[in-house]
Amino acid sequence: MGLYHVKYRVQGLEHQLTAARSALETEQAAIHVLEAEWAYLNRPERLQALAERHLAMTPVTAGQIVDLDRLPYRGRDGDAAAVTP
Amino acid sequence: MNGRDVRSAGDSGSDPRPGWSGAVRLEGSGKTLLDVGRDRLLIAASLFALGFLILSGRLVEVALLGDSSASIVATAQRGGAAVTRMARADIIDRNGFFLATSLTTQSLYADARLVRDAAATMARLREVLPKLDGKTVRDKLASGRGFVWIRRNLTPRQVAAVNNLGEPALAFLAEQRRVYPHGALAAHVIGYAGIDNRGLAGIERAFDERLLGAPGEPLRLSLDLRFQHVLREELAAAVESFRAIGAAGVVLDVDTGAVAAMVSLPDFDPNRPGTGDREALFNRASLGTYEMGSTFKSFTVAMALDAGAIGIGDGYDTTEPLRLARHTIRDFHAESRWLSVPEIFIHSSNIGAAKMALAMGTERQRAYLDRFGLLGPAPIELPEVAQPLVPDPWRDINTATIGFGHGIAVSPIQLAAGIAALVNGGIRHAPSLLWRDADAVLAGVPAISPRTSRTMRQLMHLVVAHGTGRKAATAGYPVGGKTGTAEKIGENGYDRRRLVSSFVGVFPINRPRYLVLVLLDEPKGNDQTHGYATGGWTAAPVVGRVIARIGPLSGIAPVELPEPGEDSGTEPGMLRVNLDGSEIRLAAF
Repeated sequence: MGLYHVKYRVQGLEHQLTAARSALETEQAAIHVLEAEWAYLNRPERLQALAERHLAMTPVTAGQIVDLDRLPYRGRDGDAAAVTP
Repeated sequence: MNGRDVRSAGDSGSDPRPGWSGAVRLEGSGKTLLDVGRDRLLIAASLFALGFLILSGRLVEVALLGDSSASIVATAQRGGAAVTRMARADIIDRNGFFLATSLTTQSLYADARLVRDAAATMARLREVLPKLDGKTVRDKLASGRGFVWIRRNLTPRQVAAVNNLGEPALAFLAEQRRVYPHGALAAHVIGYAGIDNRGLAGIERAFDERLLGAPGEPLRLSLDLRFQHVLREELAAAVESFRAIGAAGVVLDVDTGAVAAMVSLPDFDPNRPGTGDREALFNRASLGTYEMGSTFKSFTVAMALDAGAIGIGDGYDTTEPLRLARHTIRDFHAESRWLSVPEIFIHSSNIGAAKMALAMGTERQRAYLDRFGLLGPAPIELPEVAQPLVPDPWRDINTATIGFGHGIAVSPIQLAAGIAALVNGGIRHAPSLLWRDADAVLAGVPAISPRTSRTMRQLMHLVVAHGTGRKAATAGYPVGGKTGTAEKIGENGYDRRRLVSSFVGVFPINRPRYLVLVLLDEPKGNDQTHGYATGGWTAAPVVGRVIARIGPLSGIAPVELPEPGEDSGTEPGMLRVNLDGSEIRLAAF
């Protein structure tokens, strides 16, 4: 009797496991499809067209990148003071 | 002892059979009857006991050992499912974005034995799949064979529509289909796989075994999707504005040989490779060979300086065209005077370069070209790689023309890898499309000395600051480079109207990180270029725009270098050169 009990419990768990595994596989396949979709929607040419249409932004130019040392020094009392070497 | 005497169980003192204490005992006929009854009972009991014993034995067997066969089935199912999920490994770029992946789709087939009326079935199929070719499908349906493909890789909507027909002869099979989310973006590098999931071109073909063998691990390439997009877009714009028949472009990491972008135009959609014509499938960047023209002067100057055949202060007289074995070598931008080595380089003098090559001699020129990797096919991981066209026999006239890039034809990727070796400190790295971590980069081979390499950087900077490459100058990212314009060979020798115009640029030139090569096949001059179609007018501005866009993406801090010639102090390594009548000093990078 004890054996039967254990056996049926094990079988039940096996079934759950199989079900969970197949659910996992379905989900993984779905994730994979969505990843492909994501890659497709993230094509640089599409993003570029969308950005040009909807955002008032332009590509970063070298002039916008500045070294921290070249930033003007802000004085202690909050005034923006010019850099004095 | 008489027959009527019944002893009580407790009376064991006079019992003649020890061990029977407590049992009821009868005498006489009653005793016999009882004995028989008891024997029968015993037999029956032992039979039952045996039966139960067998049963429980079987129980134990079933309960404890019976699982094994079931679990084998389960494992088999799991393994099978994994295989159908991924038939081919994904291909990703250096940042992990998908370049190629596999999706499961449904393919329609028919059991022709179950088809009653081929024409009627065909008519109904055409209603949901209008693109089917009527005649071939009808023949297939009428063939009587057990399995005929109707249409591969249907969309879910089409699958539902076909199922709604309720035709018993039609059924679906799940198949893996290769999908390239970015379409034509990196078509020539990635290549494509056929309907049976075998790689037919590009990386798909070169790494076919690897992609099929380890489907769970994505193959990571050195390409950067963003660089690739920038390069392709700028090249496409140049092809359109100069009405070129094609173009090739390469972005190369000069320190490792890793290819960050590789474009060939015209290109094709790898999701539908059959629709592209042969011209579009051709990878100009690795399979095309071109006489490169003046970009080759970089090699000539580098080898002559490295071998000590000339010094940076030397020069040649270019007043007269050079006559050599029935050939006459002229200058395109004729200066017609004595030119110093930097002047020969930045004004791109053919006469000067030819004389420099002759001073080197054939043997040394050949040895250096071999070191730059220009005499054999480029060792890149693509099946489509060209064998360079080199002269055989190699005479003096070949040595002279190779000095300015004629008489030898190499692929763009080869040129890029060779130039990279000139500016990166003199180490040649094989160009590679596979991603390698910083500590796993393949060691290069020394090609020229670090000192010569520095001089080459200075000279290439001069070309962009004062010479033919001015249109490649980019704010924030100092560029060094060399223009190239070669005439293509027509029916009667070189054809002046059919050019291959190129520019190879390196940035930042004080500490090179990336090389950008742009090559335009048969560009035509337009109003903006005053009719010129040379490398300096057509290809150089493309390189400048590409650098301006990928510079901020590459994480390289912008710098402003002093113009060559401006007083840059008295650092060691400073170079004094004669340039157009005045002596200028080159910054030491």
